[in-house]
Amino acid sequence: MSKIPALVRRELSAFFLTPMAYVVLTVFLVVAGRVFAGTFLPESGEFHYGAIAILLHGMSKMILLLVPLLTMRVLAEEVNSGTIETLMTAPVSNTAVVLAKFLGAYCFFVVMLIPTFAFPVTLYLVSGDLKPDTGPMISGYFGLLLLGMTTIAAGVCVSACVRHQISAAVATALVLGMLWAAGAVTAGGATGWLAQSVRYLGVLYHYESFAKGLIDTRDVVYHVTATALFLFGAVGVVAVRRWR
Amino acid sequence: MMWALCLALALSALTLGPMYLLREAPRAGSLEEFLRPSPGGSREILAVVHVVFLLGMLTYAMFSAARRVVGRMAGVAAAVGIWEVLLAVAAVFVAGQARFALSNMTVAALGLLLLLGGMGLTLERVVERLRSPKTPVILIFAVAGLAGVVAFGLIGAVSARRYARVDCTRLGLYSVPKSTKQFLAGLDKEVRITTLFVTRKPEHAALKRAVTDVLDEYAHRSRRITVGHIDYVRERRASTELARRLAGPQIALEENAVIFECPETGRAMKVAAHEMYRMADPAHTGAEIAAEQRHREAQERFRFIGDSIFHEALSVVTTDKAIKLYFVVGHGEKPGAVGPKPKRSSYRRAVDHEKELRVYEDLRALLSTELFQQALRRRYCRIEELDLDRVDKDGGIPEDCDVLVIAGPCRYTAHMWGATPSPAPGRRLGKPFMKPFSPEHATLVRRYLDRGGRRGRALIMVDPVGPEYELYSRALLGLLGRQYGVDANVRRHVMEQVPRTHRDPYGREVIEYVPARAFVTEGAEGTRSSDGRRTVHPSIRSLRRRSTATMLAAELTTTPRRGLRHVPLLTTSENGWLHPFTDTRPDPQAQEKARRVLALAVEKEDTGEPVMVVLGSSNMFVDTMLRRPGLWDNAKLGQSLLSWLSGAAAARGAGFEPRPTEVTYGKISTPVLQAARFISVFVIPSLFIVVGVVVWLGRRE
Repeated sequence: MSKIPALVRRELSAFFLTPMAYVVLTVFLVVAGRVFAGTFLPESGEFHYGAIAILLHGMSKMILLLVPLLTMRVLAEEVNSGTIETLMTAPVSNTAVVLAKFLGAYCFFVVMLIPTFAFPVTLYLVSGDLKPDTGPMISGYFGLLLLGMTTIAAGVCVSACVRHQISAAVATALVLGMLWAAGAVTAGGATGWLAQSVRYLGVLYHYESFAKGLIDTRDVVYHVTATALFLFGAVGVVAVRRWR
Repeated sequence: MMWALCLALALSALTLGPMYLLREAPRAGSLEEFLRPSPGGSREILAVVHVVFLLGMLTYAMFSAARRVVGRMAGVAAAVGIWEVLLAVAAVFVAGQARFALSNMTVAALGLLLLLGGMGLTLERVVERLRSPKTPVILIFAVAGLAGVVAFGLIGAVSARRYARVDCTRLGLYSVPKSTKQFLAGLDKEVRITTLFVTRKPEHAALKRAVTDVLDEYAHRSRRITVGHIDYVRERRASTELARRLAGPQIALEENAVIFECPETGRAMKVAAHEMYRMADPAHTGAEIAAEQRHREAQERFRFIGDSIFHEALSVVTTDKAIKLYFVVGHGEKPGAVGPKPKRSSYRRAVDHEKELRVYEDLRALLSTELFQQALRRRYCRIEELDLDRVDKDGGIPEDCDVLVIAGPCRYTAHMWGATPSPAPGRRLGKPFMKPFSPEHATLVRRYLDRGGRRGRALIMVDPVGPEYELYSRALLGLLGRQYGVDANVRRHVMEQVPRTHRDPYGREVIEYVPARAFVTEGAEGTRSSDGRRTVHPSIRSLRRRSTATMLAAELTTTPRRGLRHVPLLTTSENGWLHPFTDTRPDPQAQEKARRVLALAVEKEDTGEPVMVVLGSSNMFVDTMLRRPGLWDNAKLGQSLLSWLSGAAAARGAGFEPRPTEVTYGKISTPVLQAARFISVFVIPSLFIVVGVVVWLGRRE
């Protein structure tokens, strides 16, 4: 486990030295900025403070779209380029490898979120005497961190399963799409046990409360356990690959 | 691995399909019922399984094509996959029919055949893989993974039962109010709550989510509460059983309602969907009723206030005390239930029958307080009519009367209707029964109010009338002024300047302020004292954030009386003025504008005990008003006032405020707006483009 920081640093440098990272960052910030401007800075100049939920929801959906691009290369590229052989022969455990890959991508994700703090700060500065409610912003960003954790773990797991970056991106998008659909299809008010079970899988369903300003232990537990499950799956796949 | 995935998906589809049919078929009495939208979203879940199966097939096809093992099979799988997409989309968004379950099984079986075929073609490779030294490792991780999935589900189930929530909003928008928490903690009777939402109607999804959220929180806080959900349209058997249970309390089921039942007290109460919302109009002052009606259509302008009414419902069903109300009749008071259509003269018979009926219905709605009284009965208030002429002069008003209600004695009503408000058996319809409120009647009312204590309280409504009709209420008005210091100016009615929106010839929206007799009242938000604290009278505390409106109201003024305190409850805005009842052309410019009191409470100065509530209009509770969109809150006002007067406010949840709703708007000036837009859309993303270019150039060198 002591090797993890070194591996994370290597991952981060690999992220920030590729143009893809900046493309992802720029796209994310342009779209988030557009959503922010459309929601809080309309032509009329009048805005509703509750609209922070719209911005946070918009960012959560963008995360679902961008995470496959972030995680597609973490393990698939190693397999495709053959560097996995070197990594596997190094004195590091499978868990350390997977955790380092996950933490590297997650750190990049956090860096991606940091510039968006400018939006609530801008709102706070321009809103005059009636300051916006900071509670939903804090809970919303906390939820985004959890959401990023779950989706990146899913991406790492999928990336461990396939050999090509593009396949990894497509498969991650499909998995995240299914997790989104599980919540969206049953969100119309289905109440049976089967519906509730399927809804529980919905990744964005477990983000709604955060965007409203609620921190619910059920949602926190979902994100933590789902992350653990995906990372465990990734460790399993890496272990199977190592065994010849 | 892909084969295993596809096999699992196919098997799940194959097992879920028959399970659905076996579960649903006995519930549905006929094929028509079976084809209705699915309960519990089971068909929608099948759709998800379908999509998952499709994705598995596509993935399988992709991998198969890549490996060139079963190339032909991949083509077939892809074709089936495309067909599956269309089917799944149609099933989820368009049809939602039971045939989907059958097709699901058919396609699953086809997929299974394809898989078996594919496996048969590559059997040698399968055997080779099974002999590989990797196989035990795969098996170990597969079993461990399965255990992980089970643990994931179990932890989720446990966390759903025992959870905590932190409300980060400044106003506590999603927290159960403290009063409700205390009530739930002390709840000692079992309560069964059933929602009647229709699953397939997406327009009700937001309401359902809000309701389910609150009810789950109730169930989480009290083990005495059980929450169930019935699809009102689809689950006929459960609906019929519920309707049979509610036949005693005479509650009719309806879509999107929530039913509260307490088996111990035998009480039940229905909360309809329209009671769970209020209009979130930031410009509460003087908003026109018609404008409010438009807001009704714009769902985003509404805020959920169901928790307040749910608390009230819980309070009502778990108590066995009934409030006894006596409605005084005989002086042209607004009738509770208008009797049969009066006999027509030969001339009237000549009038077009339909037109006559329409006039009859309009009059009926304008005069009757039937809806209001029905709502009171549903909340277990016992209502009786009281003819003061028939009251024993020595005994006075019956001892069991909790609150005496005098709903606007007025000859105008009698004149328009030409009949007694509620004809008793053996009594003839017609004007002779109507008589003015006599001094003897006023004495009876005074003696009743002098009893004090828990009995001896009144809700008195007076209406503005022309001078020729004033005689009917003169004795009552005299009693109010002389004994209780409340004077009602019935020769004039209150008017307001209300905004009316229209479009100019260029299509721009223009707001024009026009005089109106009907307007939204103020006061329920409370008054601010000099130290800035907001105080709301307990009689209208539950009305906070609701919109009550009045029509043709008289102004109330007060004169101090020893031992009594007058508290204004409802007022106009600062723009209220008085207008002669008979003048049809109001001129707002010529009038003195001020805040006019429309309702006030009279209570004992030392103890704060209620004595009476006087309203400047009885029209607030007529059917015409209550039927207008958003104005059911008028009925809530009446219920709240009666609960306070009867001393049962706490028991009926009437004194509890609903949770706050968010209606905060901000305004940004144009230069700041442009700067903020420029920074958020261009400057921040550009920084990362610059850094990216620098990195790219550095690596190139």
